Amino acid sequence: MKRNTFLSFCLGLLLANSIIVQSAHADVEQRRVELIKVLDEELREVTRLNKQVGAQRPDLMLRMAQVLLEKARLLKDQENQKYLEAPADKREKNKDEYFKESRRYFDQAQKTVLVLLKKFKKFDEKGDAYYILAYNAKELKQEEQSKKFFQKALDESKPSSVIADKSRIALAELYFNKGSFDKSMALYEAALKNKRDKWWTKDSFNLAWSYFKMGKYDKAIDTMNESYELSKKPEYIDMSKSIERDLAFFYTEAGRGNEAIAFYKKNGKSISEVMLKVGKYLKTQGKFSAAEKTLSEALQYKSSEKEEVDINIELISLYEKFGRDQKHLETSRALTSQFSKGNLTPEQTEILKFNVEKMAGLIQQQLVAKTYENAAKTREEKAAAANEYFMMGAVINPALSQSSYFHAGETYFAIGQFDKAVPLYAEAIKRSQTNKDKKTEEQASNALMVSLGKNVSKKTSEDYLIPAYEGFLAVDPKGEKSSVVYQRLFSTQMGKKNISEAEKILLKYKASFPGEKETQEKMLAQVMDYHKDTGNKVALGEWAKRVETNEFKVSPEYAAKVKTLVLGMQFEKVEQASVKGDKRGALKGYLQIYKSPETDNEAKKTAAYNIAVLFYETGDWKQMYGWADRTVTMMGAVEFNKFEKDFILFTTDLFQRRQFAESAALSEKIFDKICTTNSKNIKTFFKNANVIYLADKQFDKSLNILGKAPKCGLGNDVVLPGYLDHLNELAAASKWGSFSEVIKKLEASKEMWPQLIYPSSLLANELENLGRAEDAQKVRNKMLTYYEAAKKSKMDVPLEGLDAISLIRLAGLEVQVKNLKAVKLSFPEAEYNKNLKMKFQMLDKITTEAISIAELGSGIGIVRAYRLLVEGHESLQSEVLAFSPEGKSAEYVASFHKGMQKLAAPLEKQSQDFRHTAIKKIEKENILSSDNGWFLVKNDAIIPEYFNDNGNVLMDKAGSK
Amino acid sequence: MKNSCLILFLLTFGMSAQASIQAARKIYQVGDKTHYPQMAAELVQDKMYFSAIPFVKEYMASNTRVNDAVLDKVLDELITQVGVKQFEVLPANILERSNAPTIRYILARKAFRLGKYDQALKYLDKKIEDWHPVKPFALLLEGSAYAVSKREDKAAVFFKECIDVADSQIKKESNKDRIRQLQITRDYCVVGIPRAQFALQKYTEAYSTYLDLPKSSYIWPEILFEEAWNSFYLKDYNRTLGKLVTYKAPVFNYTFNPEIEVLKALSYMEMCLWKDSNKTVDDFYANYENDNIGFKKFIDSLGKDYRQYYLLVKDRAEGKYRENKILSTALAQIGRDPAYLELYNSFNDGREEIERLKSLPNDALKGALNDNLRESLGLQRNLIGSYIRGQLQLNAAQVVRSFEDMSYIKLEVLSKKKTELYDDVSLRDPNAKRGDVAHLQRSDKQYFWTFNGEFWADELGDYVFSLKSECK
Repeated sequence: MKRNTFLSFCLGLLLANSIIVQSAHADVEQRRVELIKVLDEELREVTRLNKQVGAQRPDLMLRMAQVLLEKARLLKDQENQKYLEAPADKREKNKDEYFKESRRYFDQAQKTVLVLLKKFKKFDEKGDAYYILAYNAKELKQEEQSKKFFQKALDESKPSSVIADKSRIALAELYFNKGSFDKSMALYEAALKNKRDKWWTKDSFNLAWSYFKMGKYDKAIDTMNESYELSKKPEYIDMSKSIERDLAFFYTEAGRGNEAIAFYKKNGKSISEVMLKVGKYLKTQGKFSAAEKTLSEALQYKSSEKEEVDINIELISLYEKFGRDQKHLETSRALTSQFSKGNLTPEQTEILKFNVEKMAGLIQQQLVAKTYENAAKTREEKAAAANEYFMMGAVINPALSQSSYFHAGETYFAIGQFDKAVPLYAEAIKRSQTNKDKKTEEQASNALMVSLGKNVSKKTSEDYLIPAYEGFLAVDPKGEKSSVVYQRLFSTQMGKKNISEAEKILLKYKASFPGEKETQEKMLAQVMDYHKDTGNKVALGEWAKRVETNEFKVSPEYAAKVKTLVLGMQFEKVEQASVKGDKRGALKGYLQIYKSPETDNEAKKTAAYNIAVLFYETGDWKQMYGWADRTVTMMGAVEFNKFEKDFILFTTDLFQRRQFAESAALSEKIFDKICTTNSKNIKTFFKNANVIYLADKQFDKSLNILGKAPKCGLGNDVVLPGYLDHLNELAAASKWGSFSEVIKKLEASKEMWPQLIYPSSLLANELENLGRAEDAQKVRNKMLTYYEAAKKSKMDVPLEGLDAISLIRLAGLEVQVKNLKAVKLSFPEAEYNKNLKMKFQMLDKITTEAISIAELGSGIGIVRAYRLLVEGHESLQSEVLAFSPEGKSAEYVASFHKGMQKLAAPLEKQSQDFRHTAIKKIEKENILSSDNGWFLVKNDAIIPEYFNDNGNVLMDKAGSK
Repeated sequence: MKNSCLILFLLTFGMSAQASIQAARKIYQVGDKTHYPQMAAELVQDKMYFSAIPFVKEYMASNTRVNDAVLDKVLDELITQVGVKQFEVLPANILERSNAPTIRYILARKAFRLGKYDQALKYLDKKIEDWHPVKPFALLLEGSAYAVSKREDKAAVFFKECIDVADSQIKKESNKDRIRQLQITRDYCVVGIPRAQFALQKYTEAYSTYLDLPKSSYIWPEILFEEAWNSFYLKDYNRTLGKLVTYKAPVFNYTFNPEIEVLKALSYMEMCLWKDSNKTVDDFYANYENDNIGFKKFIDSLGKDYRQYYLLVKDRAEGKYRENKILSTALAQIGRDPAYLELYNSFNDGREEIERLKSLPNDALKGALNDNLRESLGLQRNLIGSYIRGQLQLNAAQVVRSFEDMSYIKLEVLSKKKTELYDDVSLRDPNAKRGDVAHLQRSDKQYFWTFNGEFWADELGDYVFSLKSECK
């Protein structure tokens, strides 16, 4: 099947290729046919034009000749294609027949030119005509004739004309191909002065080579560079590949290697690739030292692993030839590494294999011949090198790797390094078995035994005795010494943590020595302990089953231990049931584990926790609470850490089910448990417990947990807000008993002062309600102290605090307004003036105080203060206007009223200003206050009540006031 | 610059006709040739223009020193009536004997034709008064001389002055023919400005200034072709084609300009619409190749028989059509040519002199005048015939050149096709779509109409193709 697929793939590839080739061929053919059509049309047009002008124009004749030549060339291409496609015997017979048509056109072109030259002797474009003749000759392979006509074309045309340059280039090419580089150079030089067409790059490439051949390296390089730069442009033929290939030779020959690197670097080309070429070139030229230098440098610029391999393959033969041992070793190492990655071709692999084998053998020979007997260090190094070569050999040729290992062992054996020889022999044995090489296996075994018998280290002995033991037992499994050998072998394997081998030995031992119960139990215990330690429950379960089913006969103590293990395994089953959604089965299982006397404390804790989780999931809060509580009791603080999130869920669940007491109690219990740990959730449990206690009006418990909090490391940032909550709840519940105490506690921290203003105002109100006006005033004084201190320290005061302070100061302001109104104006004149002056002074004070209150930032304060201010001004204004002195003459009264009107006018204006300011502030600062209506409602008769008794704002359906 | 013939119209005559003939007779009887100018003046007063011409010519040829004052006046009057051609045939050295503005103008024209622009300007160097009938023509010539000398600024000054002077003279003129002459001169001055700009390759400027010539102008049809070239140089090929299509309008069926087709083919080629270009070339050959052979044979057969030429156009004007399409159109065009019409009209006017001569008593003067009239009218007819021959030969040359141009265009297209095939590249955009208004380029002075095959007078010259260039 595979073979068929491969075959069909190959066929597919072949077909695809042939389709591509055919399609490319078809495209060329189609274009050629099209071109011939165009040329026919051109010929017709030129003929028509010629006729129009009375056939007196040599340029048109020339054009006709050019078109004929062009057509002849195309036809020849076409004919050539047919000729090549024809069977060889047939085509040779009728060769002329194949090229008949093109021949006809070549002849026509030739004839036209000859007529032209004869008819128009003074035609100034004779050069073009000769060019056609030259080209014709070239087509007919008449080289000398062609050269002659090209020369004629050159002589007859203007030196700077296109045709002159074309002729020069054609001649240059002829000379270039003949190796007359001096001539080609001169002709190319003249022709390429102007960059006339896209072929400039190609022709200048030949010029560069002409220079090179004439030893003009600098010019050659300059020309190549210019051609290279122009090749990048789409309007020129791209010669960059050829230039990149050849320029390196130029630079190298010119001794300008660095510039070559700069060139390739600048053009983003692989320097290494080029240097490799140069290196190879130098090798072929016998310049080995330069080649080595170039190739070594090439390695620095390698751009791929393939390149690295190619360079190293070149280098390794250089190193081998010139005895550069260290370099040879390094290169071999690099190549072997690449071989392992599959980067070497079969030829390269052969080169590497040859080098590695040759060097390994050479060094081994030197060591066996004791060449370096008196140079210990060199001997060591040589042995290491030989060993490395052998190891590389093993990599390169795995089928014979046993031999490489054996010879490596032999090398160390030869210089008496048995510790190094032993592992190599052992590996050789192993590989011999794999590769079924009996002979090498036997040789290696013998060598190993001999080496182990020498003065080897303990480690070597331990590492390599196993094969020997195994060999022994394979031959005599139940012999006299076999029990001991088994035990040693078992211990060795266990020591090496080679459990599967150890288990095999245990089973073999049981089979060979069934009566040795004690020894079996010891071995069994080691095996089971190993599985327990490594957590391999499957293996453990299997061995436990063997004990339970009496496959192994063990002591009762050990049997009980195995039972506990089995229980643990049951625990695992319960977890599986839970995962599968069998909650009932899981609960049953956990309960069994919890209750089982064999269950240790750890398992019990886990079981209890899992039971709590299962009850949480089933919604049985009572059971959940009970088992959660039990778990918390059983668990240590540190291990609890990983279950904290679950317990937050438990307490939240209890709270949501309105089981406040249980929720708070569990939170507090957990808080107590994790009190001294670094748990991130300690604040959560603390806050939850406190808030729920407060919600449940359990103020004592709240105070209790608040008291514990600092000991558990909670800072004021957590504890004080807790107390504040406590305080607010006390006020809400009208529990004034401990209110002051709590305030005192909080008062100790100045940063709490802004927060205390509002609760204190509640206390003050309560005290006032109870008739304890003095106590209330004391509290209010404190409130003012809190406020002043907060202001000084630039601390934010909550809005309700500001309202409270405003209300205190407004009370004072109200009194002042009342006093103002109480002072009445009366005559005589002196009395009137005195009272009036006093009233104005009082109004001044009221104004100062009102503005100060407004600046507190309380909405209530602002509006009420302005209201009092307006009331004060308006009352004074109306009083002044209304007053009329009695018993005075009409003129006096009139003059008095006139004077008073002047006095009252500013008061009216002032009160209007305050009114407007108040309205603006209400609107701008969105103040909602019971006094808003006083300012905003024009009709005093109907003032809607927007506020209920508690001061809540009523809103209309649209949500606005 | 198109040839134009000048006819200046007579000013007022003070004396009666009879008195003039008497005076002429007296002078003739004295036999003193130095008084020929006075005698010619007397004849001119009696509207005997053609009869007077030989006396003036003889006087100029036989006297190295001429009486400028009298000669100038009579020359101005004569030329105004019979046109410049009668005197243009005189050698320059004879004409140079007079300093009359009209003679200086004739000399300047001759120099201009010989490409001696500085010499032409030199002849016109002396001031000619604005009221002088030759002034607008002289200004046109001066402007043109500066324009061809690539001195655009100077040229523009003269052209503008020419427009002003011509307009001012038109206002004062009542003679219809004279008004038409002045209008044509003024319009040539209007297009003198864009022509100068065009010569200096200021195509964008020329594009706008060409639009200053109203479509109602007599010369607008021929200028439209220049505008088409200007658009071509602006690479606005769709507009070029639009302008050229105007010539298909029936109202222009008298136009003979083979270069229209050449420019069309060229425009298509520039837009890489090679098929269209080739089709234009092939259609041109199909239309004209055979007719051109017949046309050439025909004019060759006429040789220098100017009378035959004269009769050709006369017959055409009288409704006799030729089968040869080229000949027929060329003759129709000459029939509308202002230069031809001026020559022809003055020739017809000359015939009236024959009747007037018959009424004179038979004496020596009558005999002399009779000879003079035959000589002048014979020359006038030959001048007409020569002019026609010249035009037809010009047309023949145009056709031949157009054939050549067409062939070169086709060869260029073929060469591009070859490049595509040799290099296996496409020089054209394979996704190009034809005809879309999105490809129009408009200036503020132009509007857009869709063309449905009908030609409307107010739309002529404003058509724009909307072909997308297929060039890459």
